[in-house]
Amino acid sequence: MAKRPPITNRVRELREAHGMMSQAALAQAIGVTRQTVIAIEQGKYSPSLESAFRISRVFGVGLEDVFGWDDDNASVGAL
Amino acid sequence: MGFREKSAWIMAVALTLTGGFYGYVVTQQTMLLGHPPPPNIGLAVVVTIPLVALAIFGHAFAALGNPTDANSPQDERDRVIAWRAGNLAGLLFGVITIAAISAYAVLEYGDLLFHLVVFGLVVSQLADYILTILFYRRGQA
Repeated sequence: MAKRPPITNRVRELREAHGMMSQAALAQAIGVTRQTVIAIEQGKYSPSLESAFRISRVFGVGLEDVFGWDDDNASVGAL
Repeated sequence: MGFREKSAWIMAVALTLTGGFYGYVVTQQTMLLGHPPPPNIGLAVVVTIPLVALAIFGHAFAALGNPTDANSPQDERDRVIAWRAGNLAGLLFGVITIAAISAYAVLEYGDLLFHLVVFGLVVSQLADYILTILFYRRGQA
């Protein structure tokens, strides 16, 4: 079982706060597939820095308002 | 399930069926002759035609369900998954090819070399599809 990336996110919460924006709409806005948005929301995939900035721009917030660092899951050996 | 994962499933099943049939025929001939048979282009054609047909019809059927997804270009996660699966499959093909060359160096039997390389091609391509599915299932490569 692959260890999850030590990055948390509030993408789903922000999406719902923005008029229940669909995963497909967010995916189109940032140039990825809906499956990738799902993987990001589930914490299975850490997006590239470019996509992370695109997501934060879509919601009009800063990068750290969307993504966080999980210290408990951040050992270097786990990467 | 995204179109690219469906595509990997379709190709994995198609290659398992056709490659398995090819392997079964070659194994039967080997048992009959007492040694690996010479390369058989006719058998290769007989196996390739259904493989291509399964790939075309399988992908067409899968694309009908979500044409937009099927037509969308690879995104950053797709590219990493394709690269990682292809890289590992390439390593596997390299190992099998080295084993085949080593066997040829010792046995000097060209027919065996041919079949081992074909085996390596099929197995490494199958590994590529299986790893692609695995990486999509877990979300990342």
